[in-house]
Amino acid sequence: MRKIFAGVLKEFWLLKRDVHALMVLFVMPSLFILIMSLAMRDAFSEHSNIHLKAMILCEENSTASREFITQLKKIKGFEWSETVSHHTEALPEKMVENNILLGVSICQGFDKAVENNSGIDKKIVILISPETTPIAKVLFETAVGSTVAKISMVHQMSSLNPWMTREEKEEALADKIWFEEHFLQGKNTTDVRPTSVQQSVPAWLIFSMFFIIIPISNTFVNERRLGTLARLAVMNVSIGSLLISKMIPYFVINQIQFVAMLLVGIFVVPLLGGDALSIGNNISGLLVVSSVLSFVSISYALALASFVKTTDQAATIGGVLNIIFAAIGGIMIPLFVMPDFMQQLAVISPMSWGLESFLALFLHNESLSDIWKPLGALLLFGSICLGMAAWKLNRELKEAR
Amino acid sequence: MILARNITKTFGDKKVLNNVSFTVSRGSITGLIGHNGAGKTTLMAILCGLIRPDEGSITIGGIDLFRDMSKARLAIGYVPQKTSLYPEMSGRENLLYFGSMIGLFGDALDQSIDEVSTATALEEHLDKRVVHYSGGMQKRLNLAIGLLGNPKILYLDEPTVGVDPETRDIILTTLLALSKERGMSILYTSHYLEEVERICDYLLVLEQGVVIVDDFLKSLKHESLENYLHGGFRR
Repeated sequence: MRKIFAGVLKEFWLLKRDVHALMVLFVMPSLFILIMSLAMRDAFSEHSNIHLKAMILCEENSTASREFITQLKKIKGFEWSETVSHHTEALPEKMVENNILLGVSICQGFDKAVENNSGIDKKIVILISPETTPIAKVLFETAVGSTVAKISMVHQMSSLNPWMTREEKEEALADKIWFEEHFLQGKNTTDVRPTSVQQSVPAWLIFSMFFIIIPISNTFVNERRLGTLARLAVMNVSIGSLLISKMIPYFVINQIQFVAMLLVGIFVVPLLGGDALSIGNNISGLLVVSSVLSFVSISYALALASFVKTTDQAATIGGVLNIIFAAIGGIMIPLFVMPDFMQQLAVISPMSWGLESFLALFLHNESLSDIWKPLGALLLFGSICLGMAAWKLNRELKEAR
Repeated sequence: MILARNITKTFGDKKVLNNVSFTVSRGSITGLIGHNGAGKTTLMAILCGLIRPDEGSITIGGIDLFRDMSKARLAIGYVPQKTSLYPEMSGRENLLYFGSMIGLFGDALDQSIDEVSTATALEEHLDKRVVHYSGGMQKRLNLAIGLLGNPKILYLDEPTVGVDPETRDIILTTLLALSKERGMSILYTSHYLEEVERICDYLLVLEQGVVIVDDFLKSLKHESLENYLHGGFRR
């Protein structure tokens, strides 16, 4: 036990002098969390990043057409520009001139059609550029269609109720249909809205945990290269206690990273205008996932450091593999924006197993029993890596000739 | 103190050691010399218990090395040819760490560090980081670590390669003192004939895995030694 303690102390002595590694472990993920949380904030925000430019051409200046335009402008996600002309035929030219893909024309007779509640749809013409995406097209058609329906409905109400005052009409038009929003949380629902910081914090935390490869390989490769491990073997130090004494300090470092990154998400990101991290209720579950991830990242680092010959090789190969794991594992780009085949490819990245586990706890408030598959995969991967490291080390010491 | 009997080791098709037998008695310094590839490093690894011989046995202070390795290794101090240190740690931190690894703690560890740092003339440099040591100082620290815990047997694998004359003198003087004053048994590999002649009592010469000389140094003439070495060793 004392030997393990001395080994742990030695790793801390080495680590505290490895400033670059500490920067990679703590500063890099903090910056990534801040940058990516703010950069992706709109992608997760309530209003999303939908921002469609559309043009309105109005052939007549009537109460009904003004009401129609007012209602259209209230719809979120659109930026409307108006043009006045007596000819709908002028709309395409105006749209091309202004580089606008969506247009709606209110034709002569719209006011009368509303008044008579007949043929309103014939007095509205919409123009859609072929470059428009299918989603934008549907949104635009829905916006125009729902506005026509609303105007028509209010005028029907006023015809049924001749005593309806102007104020009552305006109030009826102002009424909005709001759906109460709930978000899926496992098999339950929650009112907590998913935010970019809930993707960024676990993603970049996992990424930085895997960068433990740099300090581990710095010492481990040198120990192998300089014959220190052989010397320790002659001192009756077992491979098991050597590996354990390496795992303990880096496990502590990983857990400090975990707490530090959560604090960045909870307190620092909001200071810069982002959303605060909501960590859910399953704190013990988070600790388990973080511990399993730490076991995996350290074992993976030890395995890699056992097979390379120089620290440069370890840093290069480890760094590139980490970036590949991150790219396909949904760390750099959220999985939900990837096409199906890329989402399926993510299964091969251990980082994606960790991210899946964290997100299940953060967003879906699931229990550990719900995430046994990714956790089991992580434990299996970590055990294989650790076994490989022990096997290689044992073989290397036997070949010390 | 060390009794090696009929050690044979083969790697693939190559017989690296062939029926090697020798004895290192208490308080003696035995020189182990031979050309590159003669089998010195393999023999040293077997004597440390890092690899097992195909045949033969090794007894350390009456304990069979491969039957009770942990106990037998307690008697062994090992100084590898490479400076197996942690360059980013200070000399004292290196000694503290390796001392703990051989089971020394508290006052015993502090006392042992004082002794070995004095013996290797490093006491004033212990708090410097090893990366700032000269090559000679690193070699002395490498030796100091091997001396921690005052082992009964010391294996040294070419400890003076690439060091300045002053450091070489410190190392050789230290080894002589350890042998004569503490009765430490030392097995010393070297390429330098003058070193062997200066400190060794006994000489083993390995040639292609076979012991071709096994005798007291004083009974060997300098000329015949040179003949054994075919001019392949540096004077």
